[in-house]
Amino acid sequence: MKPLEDELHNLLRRKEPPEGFAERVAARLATKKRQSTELQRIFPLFGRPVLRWVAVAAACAITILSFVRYEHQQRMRAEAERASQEAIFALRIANEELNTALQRAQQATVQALSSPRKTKSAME
Amino acid sequence: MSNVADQAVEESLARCVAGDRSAFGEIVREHQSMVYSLALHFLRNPSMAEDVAQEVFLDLYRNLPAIKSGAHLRFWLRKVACHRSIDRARRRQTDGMLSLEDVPEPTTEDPSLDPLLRKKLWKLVGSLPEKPRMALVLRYQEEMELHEIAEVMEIPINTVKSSIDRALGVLREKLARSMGEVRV
Repeated sequence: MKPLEDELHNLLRRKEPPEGFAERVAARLATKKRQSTELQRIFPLFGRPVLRWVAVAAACAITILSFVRYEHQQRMRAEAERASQEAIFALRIANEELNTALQRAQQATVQALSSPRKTKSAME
Repeated sequence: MSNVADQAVEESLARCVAGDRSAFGEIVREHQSMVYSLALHFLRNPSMAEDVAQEVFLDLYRNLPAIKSGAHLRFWLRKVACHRSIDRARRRQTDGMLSLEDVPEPTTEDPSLDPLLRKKLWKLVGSLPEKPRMALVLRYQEEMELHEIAEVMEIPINTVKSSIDRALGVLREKLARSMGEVRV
C-alpha cells in the first residue's frame, strides 16, 4: 500500500462519540415519543392507522365534492350570464322596433296635419 | 463484521422490533462509532457530527421493521449517515457557517503519524468537494469496496473510482508542494 493511503487510513480511523451518546439518543427518542403521544392526545383519531386512512379519504372526498360544487356553481353562473345577455339583446331589439314605430307614427301625424292646410290653400 | 456479531445484531433487531428498548441501545452502542465517525470525518465539526449521528439513529428507530439483517443494518446506517451528512454540509454552506478548512482536527493523537503531515492532510481532505470527500471517507474509514461505495452514495461505480483517483492525485500533489521533503 502507498504511504498516502496509509496516512489516510490512520487519519480516518473510527472514533468514538463523546461519552453518553447512546443515552442522548434514547433521551431524544423519548422526547419524540412524548411529542407524538401529545399529538395523539390532542387528535386521538390519528393514533390508529385505519382511522388515519379514513381521515385522509374523508379529506379527499371533501376536496372532490368542493371541486364538483365549485364547477356546478361556475356553470350556473355562466348560464345566468348568457340568459341575461340574451334578455338585454331582446330588449334592445324591442326598443329599436318601438323607436321605428314611433317614428312612423310621428311621420303619419305630421302628414295628416299638413294635408288639410294644402287642400285649403288650393281651394283659395 | 463476523457472523457471530451479525447474529447478535440480528437478535437485538428482533428484540427491538418486539418492543425491547434496551435492545435498541445495544444497536446504537454497536454502531455509534461508525455513524459518528462518518459524519465527523465528512463535516469536521464534532457537535454537528453528533447531531447528525443522533438523527440517523432516530431515523433507524422509525425504520426498524424494514431492516432485514445485520449487513442490511450496516448498509442502511452508512447510507443514511452519508446522505444526512451531505445535506447538513449543504445547509451549512447556505447558512454561511464556519468553513471546513478552519475546523481543527479531532484530538485523538496517533503517535505513529507525523503531526505536521496529519494536520496538513486533515486540512486538505476538508478542502475536497463533497462527493470525493465522502467517497474517500467511506473508502479509508470503512474500507469499503468501490461497488459498495457506489451503492451507498447512489452514484455510478466509475464516478466513485474517478473521484477517489482524482482526490488522491490532488492530495499527493498538494502535500508534495507544501511539504516537499515528506514522502507521499
